[in-house]
Amino acid sequence: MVVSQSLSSKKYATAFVNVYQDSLTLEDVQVMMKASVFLQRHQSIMLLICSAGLKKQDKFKIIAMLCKHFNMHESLEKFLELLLKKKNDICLLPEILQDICYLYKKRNNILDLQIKSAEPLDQESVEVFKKFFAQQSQKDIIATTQTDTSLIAGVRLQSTTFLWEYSVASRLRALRQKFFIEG
Amino acid sequence: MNSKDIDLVSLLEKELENKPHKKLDEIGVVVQVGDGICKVYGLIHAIYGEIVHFEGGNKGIILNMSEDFVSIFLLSKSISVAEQEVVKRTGKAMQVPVGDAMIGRVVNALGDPIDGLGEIQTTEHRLVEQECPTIVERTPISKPMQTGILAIDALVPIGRGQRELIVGNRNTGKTALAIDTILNQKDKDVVCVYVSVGQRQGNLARLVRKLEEHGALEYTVVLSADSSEAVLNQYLAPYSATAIAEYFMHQGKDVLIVYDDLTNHAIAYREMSLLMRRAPGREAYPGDVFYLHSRLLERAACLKQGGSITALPIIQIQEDDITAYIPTNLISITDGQIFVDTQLFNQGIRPAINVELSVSRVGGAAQTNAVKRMSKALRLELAQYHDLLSFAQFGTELDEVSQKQLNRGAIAVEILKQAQYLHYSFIDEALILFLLRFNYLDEVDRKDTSSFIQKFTSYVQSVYADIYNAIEKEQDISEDTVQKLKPVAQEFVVLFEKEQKKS
Repeated sequence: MVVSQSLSSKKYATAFVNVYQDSLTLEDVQVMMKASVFLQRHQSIMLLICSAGLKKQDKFKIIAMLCKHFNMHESLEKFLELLLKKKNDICLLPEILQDICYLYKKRNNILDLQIKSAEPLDQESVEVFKKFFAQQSQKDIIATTQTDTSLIAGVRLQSTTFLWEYSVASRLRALRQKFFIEG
Repeated sequence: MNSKDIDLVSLLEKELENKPHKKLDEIGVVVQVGDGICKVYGLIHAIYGEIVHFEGGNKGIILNMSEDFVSIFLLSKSISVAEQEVVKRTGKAMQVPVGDAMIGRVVNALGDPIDGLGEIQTTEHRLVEQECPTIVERTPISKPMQTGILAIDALVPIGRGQRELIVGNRNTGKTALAIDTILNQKDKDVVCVYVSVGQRQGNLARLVRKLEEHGALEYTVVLSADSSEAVLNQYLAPYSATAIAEYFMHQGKDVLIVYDDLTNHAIAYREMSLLMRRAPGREAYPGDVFYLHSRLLERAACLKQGGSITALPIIQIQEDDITAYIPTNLISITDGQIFVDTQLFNQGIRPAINVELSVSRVGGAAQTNAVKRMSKALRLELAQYHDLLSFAQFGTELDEVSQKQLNRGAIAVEILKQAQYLHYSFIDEALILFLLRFNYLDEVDRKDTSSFIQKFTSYVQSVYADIYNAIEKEQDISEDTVQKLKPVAQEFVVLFEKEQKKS
């Protein structure tokens, strides 16, 4: 989870989170993140919303459909209507949703953790890693697992700000650095 | 170490024996990559100037920090950095290896050898960015740094611990002055450091060869960040070289450091600042470009406990304009400047030092009495000569006094001409100035002046060694010595005339 590089979107997101912080839930935020990823992948929808040729009423309809489809927080629809009135700012929608998600997790001390392992892990191991990471980072963990054969053997726990790795791949990387890059 | 000699399997086995560490690494993720720069999210506890390691093998330095992102400049151009690549903190600031083993070597901005002579065995490291010595640690400059160039030693003397700027257009002999100064330090217990910033590799190779030929590499460290290297290396080079120089200074040694040149250094910093999107100011330089050089040159000092760093920064100007941004900054930072003039250079006057625009603010205190006493009226005479010369150009008939002044000025200009790689000791300089002061050169043909003065100094050294040694011992030409030298000079004039007639 990385904050967007747009200052305006961060300002809108901060304002939104400041107002609706108490009513927002983790599920709401995760839905927003899904919507953000969806919009970033489907630029044509954003093009439609930002297009000057489309009537405002039609744009409202698209936004309402979008909110309904993703079952987004009710206050968000009003917020998006507000953005639509501000001409070009609706174009920042994917970034704003991403930043809302980022800010919410930051304020609630939540960290996304990606657990990569060479072999699939059982639930017990995942819990052990989650506990270890939570202890070390002092944050609540939302973990996702992934099998990554490029690790060769071992495990890699990574968030955007912390990393813990014990794998053959990391040892090989260290050796490469030592002998072939630093000489 | 040759890669063929490494038993990778056993090394990997050894690596795998290491138990996992119990702490998390603080990391960031690359979100944007540019030309030698990348933007990273994360690294929340990172500090300004910290070194970071990229998972792909590259290294970088944090040089800009904002609320969520840090800007990192890359140390290597050849190792690529990808988006989403993980960046690890090291908790260390940039350091370079220092030690006696650095002498005679050519290294890059990181202190790694680039001369193909193998590893440099050093045990110590110093931070590239250091605090400059405090007022309490410093002592006034009192010892001269002999350049062996008469025009400098007589008119713009440099003291040990001084910062003297060399400024001039391109191809006017700025580097030649600095190199001559380095060559003149042979057997004088001075360590020299030459920093090349943004220069061509060919020029550097030629320079290193020259130093080697003259036996100057034995007491010189050459540090280079050529124009093909990453902009960060060009920015770091002067600081790294100063860290190496500081090591020797703290050992009680006198160090001469040449920054060739700080114009390229400022340009590299401007490039970095623009890439970091810092607000451009005058000539697109950032607001802190003054601090860039002031913090570098303030590290030159003469220490109470012994040891000094004498800095000779070089800057290149365009069309003799010393009022440009970087030259004026450096003129105000340094303790004087040597202005190398294109016009004089084209007239065949080498070194092409413009005496009127050159000044030394503290070196006078460090000048030897012998040279000081003999060069008292020289600056004034030269100024009067240049005034009269422009007047004489109108074809005006000049009176006898003016003619005499013109004649003396022309002789003064003639004796200040000096070939490259020809160095005078302070005794030779004092003797040459003695000849000028007591009018022994008036009757000498202008084209023979150079030969006359060189032969005279050798004559005194070989035939009248007692006078020569007395000057060396006293570092002065007393009235008594002057009286002894006068008949010697008369004797030599006769001898020289005879020799000229013969030939």
